[in-house]
Amino acid sequence: MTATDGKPPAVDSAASFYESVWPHAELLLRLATFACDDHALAEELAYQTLLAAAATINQRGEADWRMWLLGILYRQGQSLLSNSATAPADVEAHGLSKAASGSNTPAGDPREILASLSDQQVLMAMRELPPEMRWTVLLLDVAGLNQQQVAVILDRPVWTIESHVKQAREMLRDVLVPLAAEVNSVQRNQVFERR
Amino acid sequence: MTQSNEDQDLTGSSSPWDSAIRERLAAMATSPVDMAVLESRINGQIPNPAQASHMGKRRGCAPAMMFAAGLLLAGLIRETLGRAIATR
Repeated sequence: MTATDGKPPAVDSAASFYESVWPHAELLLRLATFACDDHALAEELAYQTLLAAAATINQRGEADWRMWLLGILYRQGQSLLSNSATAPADVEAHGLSKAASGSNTPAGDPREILASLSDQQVLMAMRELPPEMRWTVLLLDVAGLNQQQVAVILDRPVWTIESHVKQAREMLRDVLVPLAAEVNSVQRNQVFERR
Repeated sequence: MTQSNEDQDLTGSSSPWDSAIRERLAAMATSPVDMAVLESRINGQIPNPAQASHMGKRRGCAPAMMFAAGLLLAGLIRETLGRAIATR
């Protein structure tokens, strides 16, 4: 059943929806795409978020539309993705221990090295994170919120968010750095073979 | 706390790699997304009143234009027939 129980909202709510909610739809879909493993699930998450927003638009307490919508997206995402088999249970189960990094760190500018990775590769690394850490990084780095705002949305103390960010970045680094080293090595070999 | 430490705490960043990862993710925030399917599904549930009123205006406009075109055509036929009769 949809958040609106199949009934479209009243015209004044619809006008308000298209004026204030719809401009954020692209951000919601993008974040949903980054959070979910497949596009259909991401689209469903964004759709359910928008319907839930339309259904409760008149009871909105949050002054900031974007914060309000991101809160709905997170809660919808939790319920939608909790049953997903792809949501990792914990860090160790997905082989994201710190041991992978360090010795394999490529020399050079980290920005240039990471630029050699495709968006898809970065997303795959992101999806390896435990759900709450993934949302923390998404809200912080992709949506551009600060840690206090993320703490409000996730309903966690700020120090928990700080800890999540630190751990999540370490995990991402542990996955992305060896991957970037591998990609750079392959590219170097291809250039060498062409010569 | 110094400004740089404060920045470091706010972003959670502590190394060039962390900064680079953060920037890489931020760059992905502008990647294009296909809104067509979502827009169509939402429009199906929540009709856009702005579009609906626009359509209403267009629907109201069409009969008036048809009537004006009919009058013009009738005048043209009358004129043509009148000339044909006059030349005989």
